[in-house]
Amino acid sequence: MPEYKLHYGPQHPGTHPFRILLTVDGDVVVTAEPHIGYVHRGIEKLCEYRSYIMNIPVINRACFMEGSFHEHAYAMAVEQIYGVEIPQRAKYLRVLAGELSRIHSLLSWFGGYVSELGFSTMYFWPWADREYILDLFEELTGARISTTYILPGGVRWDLPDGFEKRVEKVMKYLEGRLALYDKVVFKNEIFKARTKDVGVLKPSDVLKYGVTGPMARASGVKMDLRIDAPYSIYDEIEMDYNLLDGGDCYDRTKIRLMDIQQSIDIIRQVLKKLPGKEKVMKKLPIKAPVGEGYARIESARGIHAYYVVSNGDRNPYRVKIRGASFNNMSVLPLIAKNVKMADIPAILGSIDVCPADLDR
Amino acid sequence: MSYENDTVYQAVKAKFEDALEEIKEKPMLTFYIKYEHKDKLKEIAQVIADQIGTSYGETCSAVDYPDKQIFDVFWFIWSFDTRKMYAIRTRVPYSSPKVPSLVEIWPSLNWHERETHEMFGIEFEGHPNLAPLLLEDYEDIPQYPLRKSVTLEKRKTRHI
Repeated sequence: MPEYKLHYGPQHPGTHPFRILLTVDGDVVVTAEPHIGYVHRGIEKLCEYRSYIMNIPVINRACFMEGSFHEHAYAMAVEQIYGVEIPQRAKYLRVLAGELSRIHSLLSWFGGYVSELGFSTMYFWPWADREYILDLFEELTGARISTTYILPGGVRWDLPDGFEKRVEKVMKYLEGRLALYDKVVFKNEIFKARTKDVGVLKPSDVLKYGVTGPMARASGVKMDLRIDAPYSIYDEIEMDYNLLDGGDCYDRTKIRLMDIQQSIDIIRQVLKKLPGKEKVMKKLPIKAPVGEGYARIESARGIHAYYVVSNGDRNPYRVKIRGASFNNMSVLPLIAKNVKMADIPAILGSIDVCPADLDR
Repeated sequence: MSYENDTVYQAVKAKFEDALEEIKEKPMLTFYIKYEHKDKLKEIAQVIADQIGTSYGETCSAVDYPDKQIFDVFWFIWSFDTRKMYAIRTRVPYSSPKVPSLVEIWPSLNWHERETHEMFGIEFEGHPNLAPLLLEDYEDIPQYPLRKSVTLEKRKTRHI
């Protein structure tokens, strides 16, 4: 049978808004070439036309699932330009928002991924659990998804009364649910058959393609910015690398569930060590001094980095965004080679691409 | 200057002192390479790569300065061994926007250089594939949209 080309997406239920050009020989995928850019909004250009603080709602939409991480990285880069140190309590609150964001991002990914593999019920369970996190966000920031909570100079609001207790209640509930997921998904023979030894990423290819985050750690590469180069208050948090060495879709799923457990532990430590009440926002002047800042952050998907250049005006001169999905996606042609057509959703899903930060 | 004692800086200085234009410490150790010596850029990158151990190219892009008629092209590198960021930069004139590609040394820069090419029109010599990436099928977007010569419509602010 001759080889032929097949467009997978952008309107396929199993893909996000991007297209994979597959060359198939019968049922075997010979090459897979990603074509991206369907949701390119030119955020980097838009940022040049807004002042530092007006950029926050734009940056937030660089990835709707984990806006807190983008805000945090951008805010840290801008603070480098201003040369300010923000209040300690604000740093803790940023980490709290970030880790809550990580849990909700990973839970929604998990639901979507397993449903692509045929577990229809498992689509709804994590998405329902995620609602509890969104409720916490609503209480903390007034919004569920686009929180615009972290600004250059601090965070917008302090914790509401009794918030810690409600967080602990949700964390306790989530821990129980993680045990349930383990039973339903990871011990399931069908799930194992679909994901074990599928789309294996070798540790040597991780650095070659710039893969970061859970995907790199599932291949056994010790890489976690929170430990390697602790930003904010991560040097005061006790944590260890989550590592697995399979590098297949199964391990990539498993490590993200381990990351949720780790985030729960971090949130507990943050609430325990939270410093006493103080002002959580330091007002910055509208015009920034001349300079540049570069900040990196470990998000739920990998390393996001922001490079901001100021020429002394009220708007940034240039904002460069490095989205984690960008490099993670570039590895697809390698791991989706010589696989069955039916494995493509399993491999594509396990990369955890956020098309919004892929295209920016 | 604290970078004087940095082994990476010393290794680069020993071999390529005349190619160095400027060293910056913030926000990371930055090597500005003179554009006249751009053919040495790859060798300098190789010296840095050998010095910093396990590393990967984190990102690459450019900043447009129309008043000086240059693009400030940068490559950001993260080292796992020294746990620091390094930057290689060069100021590329408008008249010939061409620089050597560093993909051979840090393959993870592949898509980043491709994006810089389509956003700024900078030619990366030796890059395996400079086909459009993000703007592939768009027809109504002007060429090289991140250049300062491309401007957005003025934002309309609604006053209440």
